This record gives sequence, C-alpha cells and structure tokens, in this order.
Amino acid sequence: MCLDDKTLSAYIDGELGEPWKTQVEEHLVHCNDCSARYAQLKALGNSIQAARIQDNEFADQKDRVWNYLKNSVISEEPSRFFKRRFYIRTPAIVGIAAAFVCVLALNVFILSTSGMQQDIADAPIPVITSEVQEPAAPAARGEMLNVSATDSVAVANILEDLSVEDILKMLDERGFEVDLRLKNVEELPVTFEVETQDPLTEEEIPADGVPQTDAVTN
Amino acid sequence: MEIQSNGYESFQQVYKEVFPVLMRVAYHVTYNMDASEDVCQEAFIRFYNRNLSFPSIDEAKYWLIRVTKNLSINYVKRKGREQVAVERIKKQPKPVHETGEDTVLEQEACLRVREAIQMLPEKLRAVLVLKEYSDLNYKEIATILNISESNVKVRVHRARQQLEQLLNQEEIHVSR
Repeated sequence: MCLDDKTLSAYIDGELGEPWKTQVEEHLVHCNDCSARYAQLKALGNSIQAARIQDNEFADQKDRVWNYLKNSVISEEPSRFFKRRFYIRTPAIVGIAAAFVCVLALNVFILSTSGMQQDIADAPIPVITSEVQEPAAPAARGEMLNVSATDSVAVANILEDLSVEDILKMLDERGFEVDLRLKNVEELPVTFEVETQDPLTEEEIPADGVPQTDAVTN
Repeated sequence: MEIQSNGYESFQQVYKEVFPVLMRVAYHVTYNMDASEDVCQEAFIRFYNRNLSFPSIDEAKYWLIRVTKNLSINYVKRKGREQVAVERIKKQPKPVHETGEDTVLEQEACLRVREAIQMLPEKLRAVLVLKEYSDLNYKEIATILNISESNVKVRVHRARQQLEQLLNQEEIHVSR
C-alpha cells in the first residue's frame, strides 16, 4: 500500500516515530510513485524555505525596538518579589481550582457531620432519658424538677416531634407528677352549693380541674 | 533557568534569543515590515508589563510567539489582507544578492510563495508559519496553539496541500 501525503509530510518534518519511519524509508526505495511524490513535497518545502525572511533583513528593526524598550519601557532596577506574577497554564489553574473546591467541600461535609454527631453526643438527652433511668426519684421525694428544652438544639429538636400530651403522658408513665400552670392567671374562687337534703340531686364536681376548696360548703 | 519577564537581565536574554523568531512569525503572517516591527514591540511590552515568571526560556518563547501570532492575525484582519496583499508584497524588502537571471527567478518564486501563504485560511497559515519559519516541532506548536499534536500534523499537511494547489494554479496562469 502506498503512502499518503499526511504520512510523507510528517516524515519530511522528522515527526514520524519508529517503526513507521523505517517502513516509510524502505517503501520509498522500492515505490517510484511514492518517491516521486516525496520529491515533490520536498521541493515544495524548499520553495517555502526559500521565501523565509533572513535575520539580516530585520537587523535594523531589532536594534530600533530594543532601543525603544530600553529607553521607554524596561528599567534596570531589580523586580520585587511580591510584584511577581507566575505563569501557569490554563488547564493547571482549572485543575488546582477544582481540587481546592473538592477539598473545601469535603472539609465542610466532614465538619458538619462530626459537629452534628458531637451535638447529639453532648446533648443532655438525659433530661428525658436520665429521668427514665432514675424513675420517680425526684417525684418520690416531693421535689420539683424543671425540664428545659432550650439547653440544647438536639433536645429541642427531639421535643419538637412530641406534642404536649405525649410529653405529659411520658412523664406520667415515668412516675412524675406534672403541674401545668398559666402565668399571671389567678384562680377564680368558685363556690359550689351542695344541697345536702337530697343527695341524689347533688351536682357532680367536674373532674377537669376545679379542685375542692374550703369554699365548698355543706 | 527561571525567567522573570520584568527582570532586566532575563528580559535582555529573552529579547536576544526570541526576537528573530517573533519577527519571522509576524512578518510571514502580515508580510509587512512596519507592522511586524510594531507587533514585536507590542509583544515585548506586554511581556514586560505582565510581570510573569517562566520556568524556562522556552516557555517564555512559547508565550511570546502566541502573543505575536495573535497580534499579527489581528493586524491582518483589521487591514483586510485581500485588498492590500499585492501592495504589501511589492513593498517587502528584497534580499540583496548578485544580480542575474537566476536571482530574478528566485525572487519571483519567493514572492509567489509568500503570496500563496497569504491566501491560506488563518488556521492553516498560522500552523504553517510556525512550522516552517519558527523551527518548532509539532509538540511545541501544539503547546502554543493549545491544540493536539495530531491536529497540528493534519493542519500542516493540509496547509502544504493547499499551498501546492495555489502555486500550481498560479503557474498555470503564468504559462497562459
């Protein structure tokens, strides 16, 4: 098979690696068509080189530009280090930027997850669970216990999922006596008149809250 | 050796070694001596003012060649090469050799080649000029133009093919 122009062009430029270079050389020895084409391309190359501008043709320009640069642009003072700019090719810059973003994202992810775990670990879940471990102890001693959900975000999140009824029910199951009061609301004195004459008609005291007081008279 | 573009000694060294290459690139793209001088001067001014640091003089050379090539192509686009091509070719300096019939023929051949190079599409012309007049290999040209080596190989081949066709057409016209 004969050689194409692209291969011959690369061969002329000395850009053909082995074993193709040797194969081309051997082929050119035996193939008249290819060697003729090779000669044409070589002649073209010689014509192109003959049109090359020679260094002595722009000697004046070289001196003139240098004099201009020396007098008007460059200074002989040494350059300062902090003013230096470093030349890096675009792909390298993109690669470095991508690597930096990846490392940053990974850091943020690790920190956020470890921070979350730390939060949960530090959270005073025992506000609920420790009381489970020591059931009814404060209540048994008749002491009051303040349960606060604002000490920790984690606990607040846990309590957010529970309704007041759930919390009361849970505390009740654990043996706590819970007293809920509304601030700045005074209890109204309520008096019930009970007819003692007819016990069958005696009104029932609602079970929902108004305690029996001394005001209730027989 | 590290090259600091605004260091006096580095700049002087780069200028001495690289100016001829830049001038050849600029000239064979624009085919105008004054424009080539301006382009080279501008390239070195940018080189100095950018305050760049290069790991070697070759890297500095690639940067300067890229800038020169772009400035030259911009010049050609601005001026409209087709309209003034003939005038520029006429104005270009003619090498002073011994006079004789052979020399005249050589000069005519030289002008025809330069004219044909000017008629190549921009991408092919840039690659051909870098290959033929900058003494760079495919890898270096690929670095300067930011294309692959195989792309350089294809472009060089196509540029030669088109140049050959243009020269053959011209010969046919002349013989008629």
